[in-house]
Amino acid sequence: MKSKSLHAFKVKLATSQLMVYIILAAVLLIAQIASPGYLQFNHVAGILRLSSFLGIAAIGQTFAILTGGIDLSIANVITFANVIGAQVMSGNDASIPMALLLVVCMGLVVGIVNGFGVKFLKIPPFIMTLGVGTIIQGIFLIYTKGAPKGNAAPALRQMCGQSLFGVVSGIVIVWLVLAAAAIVLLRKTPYGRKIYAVGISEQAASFSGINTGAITFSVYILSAAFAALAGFFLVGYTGTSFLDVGTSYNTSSIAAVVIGGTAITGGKGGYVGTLAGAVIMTVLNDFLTIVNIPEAGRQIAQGVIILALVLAYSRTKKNSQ
Amino acid sequence: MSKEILKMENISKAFSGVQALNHVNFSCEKGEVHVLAGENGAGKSTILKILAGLYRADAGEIFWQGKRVTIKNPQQSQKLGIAMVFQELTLVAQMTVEENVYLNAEPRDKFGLVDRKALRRNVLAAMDQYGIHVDPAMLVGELSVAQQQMTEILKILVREPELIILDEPTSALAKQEVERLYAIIRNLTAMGKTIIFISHRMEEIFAIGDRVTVLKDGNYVGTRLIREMDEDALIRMMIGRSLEGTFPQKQAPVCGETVFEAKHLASPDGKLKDISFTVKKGEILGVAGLQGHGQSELLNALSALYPLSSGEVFLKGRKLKARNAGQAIKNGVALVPADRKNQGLLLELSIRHNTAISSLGKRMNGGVFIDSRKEKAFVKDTIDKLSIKVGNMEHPVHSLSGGNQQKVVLGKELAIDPQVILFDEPTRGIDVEAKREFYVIMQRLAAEGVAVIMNSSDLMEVIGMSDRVLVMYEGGVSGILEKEDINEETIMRYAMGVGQKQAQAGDGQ
Repeated sequence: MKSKSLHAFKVKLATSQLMVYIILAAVLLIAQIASPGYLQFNHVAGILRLSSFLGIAAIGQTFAILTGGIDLSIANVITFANVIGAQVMSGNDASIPMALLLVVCMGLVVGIVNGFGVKFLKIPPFIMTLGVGTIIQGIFLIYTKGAPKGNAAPALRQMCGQSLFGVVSGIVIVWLVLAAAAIVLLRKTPYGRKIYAVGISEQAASFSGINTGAITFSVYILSAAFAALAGFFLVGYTGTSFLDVGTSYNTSSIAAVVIGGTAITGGKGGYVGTLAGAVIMTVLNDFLTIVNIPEAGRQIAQGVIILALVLAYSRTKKNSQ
Repeated sequence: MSKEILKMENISKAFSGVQALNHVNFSCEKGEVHVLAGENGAGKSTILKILAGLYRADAGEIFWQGKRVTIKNPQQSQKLGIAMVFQELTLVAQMTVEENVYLNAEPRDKFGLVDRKALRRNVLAAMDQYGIHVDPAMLVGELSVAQQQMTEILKILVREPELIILDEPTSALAKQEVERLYAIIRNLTAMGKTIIFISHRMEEIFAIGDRVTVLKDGNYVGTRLIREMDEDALIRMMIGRSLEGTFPQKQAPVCGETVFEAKHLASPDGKLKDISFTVKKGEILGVAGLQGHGQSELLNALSALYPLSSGEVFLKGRKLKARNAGQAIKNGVALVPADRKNQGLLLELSIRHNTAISSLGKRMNGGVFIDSRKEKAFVKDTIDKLSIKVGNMEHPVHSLSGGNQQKVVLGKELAIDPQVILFDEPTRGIDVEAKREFYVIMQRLAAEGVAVIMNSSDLMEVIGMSDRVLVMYEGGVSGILEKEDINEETIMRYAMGVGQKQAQAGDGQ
């Protein structure tokens, strides 16, 4: 009897997104032991702030991966949004709405191009989004001539750079609101159900009366829009714009999604896991910096840890079957 | 007395606590066709997979040509001379027939490269020897399913096995192709090869088998000489009751009112040509024909899942327009597709999500969110109504048996309140009991005034269930048969295109 309930628990662990929270707790514990004071109030607040940019970008990536696709344009969408945002704001609070509007429009246009290529031209998402990402990079290089201008408006800086109360800052609240919306959308609406259906089997989904093309199209629009938002808010964190501010986000958003328990082949998982995945990715990077491992070593360590986690997942899943 | 080539004794095997085989005995004599029979889940595939080295038995012994052997993996089984033809084909679609047949066993020239001339020579010789004829230069992907199956069998034969296991080899074959397969099997036994044959078709067991071993719920029931048996006796061994009353009585008479009508349907690729028919109230229209004459395409086209270049469809006099399956569903056209695993179900999703997926909009809360309470109640109701055997509706749908999976597909389609329901091979691969339940449901639907159209490659099913039968030949309608004409012979005549002339002559009089 005992072994049976243990088995059931293991199955639940592997099939739900619970596992990632246990890993998160373990990672935090290790960080606290290896570097006492890691879980201090201010530091946790900083980690949450930093996680929120990745967390917002990974919302769209979760959607894309759930349909069985992927979005490799988000790194450059983030940078472009960052560039546009900084330039339009130019340190002026009154320009925030205009900057936000332009950034979101840019995201929508990119998303429509991605969706069009994947749905109508039948280009594999991997290639389409990679190609579009490269084009965006070319565009922002021409646009900035290699030297981006402008800086964050004070209000945005306040929102993204400082704590509002306790460990929570404005950007974290924005993230949690968007996260809640994403979770409800996936779990509680027909649109969410259809995303999972398309990810499991496009043929069965279309036989079930789902307009699979429209679903595919829409996730790329959402993905680019969320990436654009993340890029916009990043201006508030960094103060000014950098041309490599988004570079790491393709890998880290995919890693956050996969560590969060979403199947890279689509149809299984959800944003609840990605949420913790984003925090884990941020903590890993941050912790390795604190213990004085240089950038190259950090990258190696990150890669190894991601592979180990994904391997651990697939093994528990196999055992539970 | 023939020589015993294979003996399996007291074979047991359990899967995570479920006893799939329980002290089963099975033996084959050299040169015989030994049929393995039993309902789905009886353990037929399990024991053969043990023989083929895909599973290992928990207990029991295997003797091969009198010697005790252990079979740990497929390579060992092949080395002994045992070959298995699977239901799922193992051919590479992008390669030619001859390349597939000699895959990994290609004849080499003196430079160690593939000797294409020798390859062609060997393939043609093997085709002559076994009586299998397929164009060796064709790409496998361009062959019909039947030709692919023949290629698969040839691929196994050139490796010269002593014992050949055929797992439901005829499920995708039309009648004349089945005859060809019989000829190949007889040829093989004449050469002294032994055949183990799994089949669900009665006529086949009696046409080709020498002996039959029946399994039931993982237990050995018995082995008999087929010539000393009849169909009823065999069925009683399998299920413990007689076949009588497989097809339930009609519940309501057909009346004159036309519910559904198709006019001059044609597809751009020529798979469907000028198809017109009607379905009356209370009626089940059967669709019959040999494999690949457009039956599935017709049903898919009615659901807007196959392109039409011309034609009109009317429901109760109203013209239907649908550009995709979603719109067809809104029009009240439901389809239970032929391929349950790839078309009917989202296998890894839960029973609940599968049942709900086509009718999500019906159980909303404030127009935005899915109402979980209503959804659970709806799924529970469907499970009860269709008596689906389900432990927990949150479990993945692939955990169910074939029959129960098919009921989930049906439940999902019934949830849209269809006015027309299309059944494509509704009972393929499901057990006898589930079949009967399906028949009862179809008749109830017809009695309720839903237009029911059923395509089946099982002729007995078409004959037993249909009020009228539309027979297809080369993408067109070769005949629409009524009452007394609905018999095997007439259907076959029209299905082979020979009934057409008589029908036209009949119209002319």
